[in-house]
Parts: sequence; structure tokens; C-alpha cells
Amino acid sequence: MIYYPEYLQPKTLEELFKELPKNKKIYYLAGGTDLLNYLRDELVDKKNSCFVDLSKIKELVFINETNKNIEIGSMVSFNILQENNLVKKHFPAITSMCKTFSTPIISNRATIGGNIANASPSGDSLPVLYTLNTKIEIKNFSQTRIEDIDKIFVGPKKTNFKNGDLITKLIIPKQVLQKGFSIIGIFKKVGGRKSHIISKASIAISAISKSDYIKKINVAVGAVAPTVLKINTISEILNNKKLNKKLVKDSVEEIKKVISPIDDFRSTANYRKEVVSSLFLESISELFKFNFYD
Amino acid sequence: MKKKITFYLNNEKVVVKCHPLKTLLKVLREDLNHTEVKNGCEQGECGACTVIIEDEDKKSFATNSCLVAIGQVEGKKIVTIKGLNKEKELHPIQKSFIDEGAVQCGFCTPGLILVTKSLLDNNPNPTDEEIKYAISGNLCRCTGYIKIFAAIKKAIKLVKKIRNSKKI
Repeated sequence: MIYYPEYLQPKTLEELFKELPKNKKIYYLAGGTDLLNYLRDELVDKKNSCFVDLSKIKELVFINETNKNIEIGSMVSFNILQENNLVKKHFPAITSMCKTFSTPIISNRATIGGNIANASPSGDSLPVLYTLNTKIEIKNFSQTRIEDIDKIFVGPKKTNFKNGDLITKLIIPKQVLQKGFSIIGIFKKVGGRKSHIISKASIAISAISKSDYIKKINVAVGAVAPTVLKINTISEILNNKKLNKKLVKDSVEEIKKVISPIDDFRSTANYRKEVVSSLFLESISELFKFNFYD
Repeated sequence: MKKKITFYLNNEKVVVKCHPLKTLLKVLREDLNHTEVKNGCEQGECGACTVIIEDEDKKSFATNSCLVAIGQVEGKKIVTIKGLNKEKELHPIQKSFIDEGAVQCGFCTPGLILVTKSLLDNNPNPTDEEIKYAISGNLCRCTGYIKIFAAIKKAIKLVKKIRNSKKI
């Protein structure tokens, strides 16, 4: 007989924290596109775990605009995110990422909260959220805390979460734009096929610019270190500058300095090191409509 | 911990008694004998097990049934390939796939027809790029996709023709 973990399906957050068992490892079931694979592959200690299905909790599905931020509920799926106009307007890098995220039929179920909680260094949403200085709201029983996204990951597939911690929403600051400036953003990755790519390497860029003048830029890379990395030194090089080939070359050197890619079943360290630099050149060329390759 | 779960399968109400974490794919095949839903990879890679799910708020989408827990389906409507034809009359998408020879071994066909149905329900005039994107989660190892693509182009015309004739 196949053994299954305990299962709860609360309808509200209040109900969830009332029912949550204290003596079991809690797995929140969101879209299930990763977690059900772990269950099938016997990677879950079924006897001592409880799966808490979030699919009936309507209060986790929303995209709202506040004075300073856009707030996104953790149960928002990638297809909803891809079509959302607030997201398109304020965070083009998110929209760019959604277009290449997994497959469309998985995007229909997979959620942004699940992608964060899974904590894979190749999780596609993560580098993008790093470039946008995203904050994450986490609830556990009566406590609520807010953390910067780059503080919650401690290693591949590892977060600093305590048992029962639930991601409830993402808080992403809107950018104030001076006249003539616009917000631009992009996400690129390399993998084995065009669709359904689990990244061998990925890059996200978000910037405020006017033609080739950069007011502010953030660059983050995925799958080339134990966690996603935001490369602050590139921001220091490029902020408040007119873009040129020398600056772009210096930026590539910064990427090579901070990454620590590995050999694994998906790719090799050497390949990742080369390809992530190319991804940066390709992305910056596309964003600023100039060929920075040569 | 078995639970009674009620949902609608091809417009008929069904009740199953099983663990809510059993996948929709397994429930359809093992408990309900709906073997038209194919088990390819069982990990969301191939799309052979695609079904259409309609939410309580009437939004419908295609997805991999191997990655859906049956507990999450409670109260929802599920459409498999068996739900498309009206008795002996095939759905225009099914006809187009036959006409264009888009079926070889047939294992990917239910999934591909269902993603096409979902695409055309939401977007009756997809561009070539939108078609390619829509089917990108469904693998076919026989046809090389050319005939599948042609079948979808044909289906768009057929579906439109039928819709227009119904308007009159």
C-alpha cells in the first residue's frame, strides 16, 4: 500500500494556523509542480510530515498596488503574473521571466510563492526578484515578519525558514521615475531545450534608464553559485553612467569574480562561467539596443 | 486517510474515495478507468497526461494531471479527450489532427488536442508564435511537430467556421 503524509486543506489563514500540527514537518502544497514530484520520488518523510494544501485560501491570490509598492500574493500562478498589467508596467523583468518559465501548462499551476520556497539556485523567479529588491512577508502562527529576499536563502534548496513558516506575499517597491526615464528589465537563461528549461545559468537585469544613460541598474545571476547572487559591484560600475563597451567589459569581469559554479548532471562549471557572461552581453545588448559583443 | 472527493468529469458528477494527495492522473486511470489520459513521464516533462481544469470561477486551463493532487480538484470540472466529441461526431480539432496526419503512435495526441482546445477557447486567433508557445509543454517523438502545427492551423479555421455558422 502506498503511504501518504497527513493532509490539511484550510480555507483561511486563520484556520490554517489553528489546525497546523506542531510535531510534524510542514510542507505547504501550492501549485504542486515541484512538491508532488518530491513526494513521488520518496524525498519526503511521509510518516512525520503534514502537507498543507493552500489551494482553497483565496486571500493568498491577489496583485495589489499600494502607495509605494506592488504586493503579490504567494499563491499567484505564473500565467496570471505574466498577463498582469501592473506587473508589465512596473516590473518588465518579471514579465520577461514568466514568458520562459517552465512550460505554459505548468505555468498555469506553478506559483510565485512555491518557486521561492523551493529555494533552488536555478529557480527562475529568484534572480528577477533580487534585482527588484523584493521583500517577503512570512507568517507563522500569530507572528508576521518581513525579510529581504536575498537574506532568506542559505544554500541550494535551503532557506532560513522555521517549520511552519509560510510565505504570504511579496512586496516589491515601485520606482519613482524622472521625466524621460523608463524602467526596463529582462531575464535570460540557457538550458537543454527551448521550452521547459531548468537553467544551467540565468541572468536578470532591472534598470532605470534614458536611452544609453543608466540611472540605476541591478544585475542578479542564477544557477552559478549555491544561491542566487545579486552583483552589487556592477551597480557601482554602471549607476549614473552613459553605457559604453569598457563599462560593460568591466561588468563581465565582476560576474566572473563572484560566481562559483559547479559541475553537475546539468552542466559544467566552465560552461556556466562562459555562458553567464554571454547571457549578460546578450541581455545588455537587447535592453540598450546596441551590440556589446565585440 | 481516505476522503470522499467530488468533482465533474466530462460533465458528469463523480465521487471518488481516496487519499487527497493521490494525483489526478492516477485517480483518472486507476480509480475511474479513464486510460485515455496517458501516463508518459509522471513528472510534468511530457504533457501526455494533459487535462483541462475549469475553476469554480469558470476560468479554464490545460495542465499536467500528474502534478495535481486530487484534493485540489474538489468541486472543479475536468475535461479529458473523451469529453470533446459529441457521441460519434468528432470535435473539429480531432478531425483536423486526422486530416493532417498529425497522429502517429498517438500517445501525445490527447494532450496536444486538449492544449489546442484550451488555446482556442481563450484565443480564437493565435499567431504562429502563440501556437508554438502553447504546445511547448507537450512532447511528440514521432511527427516532428510540422503536421501537428498544420493540424492546429486547420483547426483554427474549422472552429471559426462552426462558430460563425452558429451565430447565423
